[in-house]
Amino acid sequence: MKVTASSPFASLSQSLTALTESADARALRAHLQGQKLPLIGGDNDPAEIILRALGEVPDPKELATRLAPVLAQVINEIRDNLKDGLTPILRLQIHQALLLAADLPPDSELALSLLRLVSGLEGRVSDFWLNDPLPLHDGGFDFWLKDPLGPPLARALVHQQTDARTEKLWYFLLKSLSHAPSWTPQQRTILLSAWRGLLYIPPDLEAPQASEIVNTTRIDDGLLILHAGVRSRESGSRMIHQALEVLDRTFLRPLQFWARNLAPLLDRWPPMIQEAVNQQWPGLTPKADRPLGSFVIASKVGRKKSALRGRFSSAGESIIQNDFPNSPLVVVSGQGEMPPVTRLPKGMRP
Amino acid sequence: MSMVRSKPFFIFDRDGAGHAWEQPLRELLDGSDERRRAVVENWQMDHRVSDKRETEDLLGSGCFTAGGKAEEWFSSLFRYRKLRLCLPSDTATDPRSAYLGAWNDSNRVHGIAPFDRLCHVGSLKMITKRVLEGSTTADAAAELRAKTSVVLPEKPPGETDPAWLAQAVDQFARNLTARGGAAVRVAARILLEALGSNEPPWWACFSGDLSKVEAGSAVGLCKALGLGHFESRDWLVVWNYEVRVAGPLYRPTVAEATDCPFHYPSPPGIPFGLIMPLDPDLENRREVLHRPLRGAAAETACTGKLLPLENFPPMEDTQLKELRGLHRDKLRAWHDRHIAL
Repeated sequence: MKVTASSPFASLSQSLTALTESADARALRAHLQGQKLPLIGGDNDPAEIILRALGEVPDPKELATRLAPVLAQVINEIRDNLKDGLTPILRLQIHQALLLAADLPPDSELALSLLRLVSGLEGRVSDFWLNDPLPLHDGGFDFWLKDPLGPPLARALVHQQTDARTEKLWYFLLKSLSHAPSWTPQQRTILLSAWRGLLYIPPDLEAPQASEIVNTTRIDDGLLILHAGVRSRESGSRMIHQALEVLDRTFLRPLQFWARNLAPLLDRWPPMIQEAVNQQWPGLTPKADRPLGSFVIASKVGRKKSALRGRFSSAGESIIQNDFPNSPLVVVSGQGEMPPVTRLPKGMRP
Repeated sequence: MSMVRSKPFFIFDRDGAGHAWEQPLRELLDGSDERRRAVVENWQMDHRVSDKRETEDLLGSGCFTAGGKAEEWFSSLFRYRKLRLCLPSDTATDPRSAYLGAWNDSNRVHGIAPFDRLCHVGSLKMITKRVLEGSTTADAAAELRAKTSVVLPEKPPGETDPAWLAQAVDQFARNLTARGGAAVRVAARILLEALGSNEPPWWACFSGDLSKVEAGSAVGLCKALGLGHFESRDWLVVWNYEVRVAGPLYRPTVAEATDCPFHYPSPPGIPFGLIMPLDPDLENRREVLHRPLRGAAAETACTGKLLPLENFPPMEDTQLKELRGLHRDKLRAWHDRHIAL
C-alpha cells in the first residue's frame, strides 16, 4: 500500500521527507517523543508509527536511508543529554531511537552514534550490560522503569553494522555475559544478539578475503568464547545449540558447505560444540571420523590471539578510541577442557 | 491578553476553565486534524475519570507538562502510557498499572458471572515485533523452537525493506497453522510470556455478544470490536476465556485509551465500555479491561486458530468523523430511553 492523500500517514510521510532534506534532527526527535504523529490507536510506539509511515512512501528504502543519518544526530544529542542524568523520559527517547535504528538500513554515522551511546550509557550505569535496568526514582516519578535498554541497544547495533567496528564489542559481550554469575532472560537475549552481531558483520570488500561472507574465523572465535563461559552451566549446551541454529538460519548453505568449513575445526572444538554441530547438521562428518571424546586434555591455560584484546569495561569507549591494550585474551581459565589453539594468528595468514 | 471564549471548556465532563490543559486542548479542537479532535473530545466528555485520578494519577504523574503546547500534550499521553499504564497488572505489586489504582475503583465492574466468557483479539505482527524488541527474545525463540519446531522470525542481515516483518510474520503464522491448533496455543503462551509484565491491560468483549460469522473472520472481528488500528497483511490471535481467569474487570476510560480515536466513552449509567464498531449498522458490544493473560491460561484460552487479515484498508478521517457522529447519536438515544427518563 502506498501513501494517499487520505492515508493517516500522509502528513507524517511528508514530514519525514522534509526533515531528511533539511537534516532536522529536532523534528525527528519530536516525532520520537510522540509529537505530530497520526493517531492510529493500538498503543503503537512512535518508532513503529514512523516505520509504518516510511513503508507508505513511493520509495521506502530511499527515505529510510536518508533518515538514518538524521537519527544519528538525534542519538548524538541524546548521548550529550546523558550528562544530566538518565531520566525516565530520556530513557523513553533512547528506547524509541533504538527501536527505529534497528529497522533502518545500515548507516555508518548511525552505527557510530550507537557506539557513542554505548560509551555514554556505560559511563552512567555501572556494568551497564549486566545490571540495567536499575530502579529509578527521579523527580515526579516514583517507580521502576523496567524496559531495559541493553537488548534494544544490542539489536540496533546488530542491524546497523557497516564494517567490523563493532566486532570487539561482540566479543566483549560474548565473554562478559557468558561468564556472568547467573543469567537473566535479558542477559541471554543480549548474549544471543552478540553472537548474531558477530555473524552479521558485513564482509570487507577491500580485503583480500572479500568473498568470505561466512567468516569462519569469527564463528570459531565466537563459539569458543561462548563455550568457555557456558560450558559449566546446566543450560550451556542449549545456548550452544541456539547459537548454531542462528548460524544455520543466517547463512542458508547446504550441508556440504558446513562440512567443508566447519569439519576442519571440529577436531579442536570441545565435545559440547561438537555434539551441537552434529545435531544441527547430521552427517556433517562420517561417524568414524568424528573426534568426539578424543580430546587431549590440556594441562595449561589455552591462549589465543583474537580480535578481543581489551579490558572488559567501557567497551564502547574503547572501541571508539581504539585503545584496546595489545594483550592476548585468555579464553579459558585452566579447567583443562579445551586444547590449545594452533591456527595461525590473523596477521600471519596468507 | 485576555481571550474571549465562545465555548466553555470542560475536561472529564467537569468545568475546566483555567485547567492546565485548557490551552493545548482548545488548540487541538480548533485544528483541522479530525483524529486529534476526536481524542480531545473523548478526554473532555469522559465522566468516568474521577477527580482523584485526574489530580493524583494524571496530573500528579509528572508525565504532563503544565501549559504545554498541543503537540506536547500528545507527548504527555505517550509518556503516560509508557510510564504509568505499561506496568504490571498484578494488584499485589507496586508500582502497578494506573488503572488498578484506588482512584479508579469507581470503574470496577462487579457482579459478572465468573463463568461468562470474554474474548480478546491480538495482532500477531505487533506481538511478534514486541517480542523481538524485548528482553527475553532468546528464551522465547528457544522455547518456541523446542515446543513447536517453528522458528521465531528475525530480521535478516542487511534487510532494508520495511515490509520484511509483515512477510516474516505471514510465514510464521503459516508455519504455526500447519502444525495445528495445539502449536498455535503453545506459541501464544510463549509469545505472551515474552512480552513481560509491563504489557498494558487487555481490552476484551463478551464472547456471547459476537456472532459466529464475526468470530470466525478477521475483518468481522475488527469491525465488530472497533479495531481500526489493525491493518491488512496481519494475522489475528484470539483468546476466549472465562471471566474468572481474567481477574478484576474495569470499565475502560480515556486514560487507558489515551490517543485512540476509535475509542468512544460509554455514557453514564453503563457499568462497562460500549464498543464503537467500525460499521455503524453493527451492535455496540460491551467491553472491559483486565490484566493480560499469562502462563497456562494464555495457552488454554487461545482458540488455536490464526485468522489472516486482508482487505482491511485504514479508515479515512471523513469516515471516522461520520462514524463517531452516528455512534454518538445511538448513545444519546440509548441514554434518553434508559437513563434520562
